[in-house]
Amino acid sequence: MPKLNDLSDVVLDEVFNWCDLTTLHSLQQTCARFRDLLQNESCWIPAYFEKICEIQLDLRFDLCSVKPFDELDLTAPFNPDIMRSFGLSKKGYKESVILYLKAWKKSRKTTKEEIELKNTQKDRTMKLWIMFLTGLFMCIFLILSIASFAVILQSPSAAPKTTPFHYWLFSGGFFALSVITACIICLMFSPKTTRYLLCCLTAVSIPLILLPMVWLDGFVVTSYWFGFIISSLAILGGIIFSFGSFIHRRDIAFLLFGIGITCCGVSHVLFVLRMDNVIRLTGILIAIPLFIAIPLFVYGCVLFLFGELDFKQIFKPVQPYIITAAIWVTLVLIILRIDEIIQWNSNLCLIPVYIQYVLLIVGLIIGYAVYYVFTESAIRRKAKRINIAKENARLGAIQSLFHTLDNE
Amino acid sequence: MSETLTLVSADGKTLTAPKDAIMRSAMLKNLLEVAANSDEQIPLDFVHSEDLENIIEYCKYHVEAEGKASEGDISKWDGEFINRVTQDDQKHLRLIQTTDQLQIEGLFKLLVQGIVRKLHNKTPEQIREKWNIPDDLPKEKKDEIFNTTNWLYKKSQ
Repeated sequence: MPKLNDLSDVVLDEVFNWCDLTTLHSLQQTCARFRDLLQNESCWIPAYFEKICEIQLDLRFDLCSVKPFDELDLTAPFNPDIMRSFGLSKKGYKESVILYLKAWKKSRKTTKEEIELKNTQKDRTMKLWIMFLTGLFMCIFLILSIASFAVILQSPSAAPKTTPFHYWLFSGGFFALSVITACIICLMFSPKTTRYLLCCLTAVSIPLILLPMVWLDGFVVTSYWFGFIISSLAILGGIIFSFGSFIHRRDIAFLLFGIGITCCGVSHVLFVLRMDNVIRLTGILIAIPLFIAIPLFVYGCVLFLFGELDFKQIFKPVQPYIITAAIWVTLVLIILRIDEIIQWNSNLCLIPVYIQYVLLIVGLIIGYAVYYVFTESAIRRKAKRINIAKENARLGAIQSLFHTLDNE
Repeated sequence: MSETLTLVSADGKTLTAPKDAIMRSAMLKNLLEVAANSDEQIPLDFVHSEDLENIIEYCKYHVEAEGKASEGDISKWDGEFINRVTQDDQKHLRLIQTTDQLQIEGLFKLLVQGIVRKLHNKTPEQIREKWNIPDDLPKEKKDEIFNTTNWLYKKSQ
């Protein structure tokens, strides 16, 4: 049976590379073979490095416990072979490591800045999109309102009974707009796996949307189911993004939750629209808190589940949704009033739907251009500056090291 | 189905393993590329059958898990595997030697870290006792070593 001191030099060198200074010290006093091997300075370098980090710069956790030395590119000058080739003493090594680590720590600050910059830009981008979407939907509803008035002005007497299909087209286009927009936004922001998931989600949603159209008759039932299915899918997407490997995309989760709940609310409004006045009013009154309360509640639950419940944290990202929801409710109410005044013309009522889609495409192109100009290019410029600063810090550190080596 | 190869251990036991898994060993990979025919049995005179089973298990898992399991799952499995195979110190040392000879880098590092954990915070006496190492250093030498390396400890305290 082999003994520890019978292991080959290669194996023992590897063991020594992973030992801390205390253990190496003990091993050195254990037997003659260990002592002989440990006379080679290179065996001590990783342990010294770790010890110096620990006692001088308090970087032990950041640097030494997380990754082995060979995975840290910044520690490349401390490769044992390089150090051995310079014949550096322990004292010289210690001094150079301290100098190097000081410079390294300085470059770490730059990295932290970089992370902060990315987070800030990400927040800004999300806010920009939310603002853009709010504006887009506002435009859509305004144009819809104008179009509705145009219908009345052109043919005030033409008021044929609307078929469920046309109502579906109108309300369906409205709902589909939400989902398509959400999917496009997610596709722009998300990684490859998420894209795949979203494509599946969209593919599944199509038959689910069409099924009620085929089986159920009438605007009331159709719009209700439509809204219900869309909101369910969006909420399902939100749940998926809240867990597992998608946890870091909580922004998308919340966006989907917001869309889901908003669709649910709109569906509810459209449902009660077909009822008598008293019920309609009650329904609308119920829908208003629904717009505001449920997204807050759901988001609060998500945060609570991950131990991050903080009222400030909840309110800040929810704020744009509250504004969006309030605008939506107002606009839906305006449209309801218009709907009461006019009876939709079966042919002309298609126009607003076409307008919706044109607006969506134009709006997204403008939105993407705005996003690119104000955020993406700014991020690239800043990242370039940071990379140069990091490289300079690294070069400075290496120069310090070689300076110490020369003095040796 | 992937191609399998037959390996013969030092104690004459025959074991089969997928070629993909065996190729994790740099030594066997070179051997297969240069000389060996996959139909032939590959004699491994320096490998005990128990070690060979463990090595095949490790390599098979890593081949199967590559690209499928997450890093966390692989690390967890590695941890459990190492705990299991390194319970006996003598077998641990034998497996390190074998892995070194077969040049299986990942497993070698894990086993080395296992040794490091066993050595951690141990005094020279404890190390000698645990690993059955004879004390062949005179007291003067030990004192000398202690004095030359003591500077770091004073600083850290």
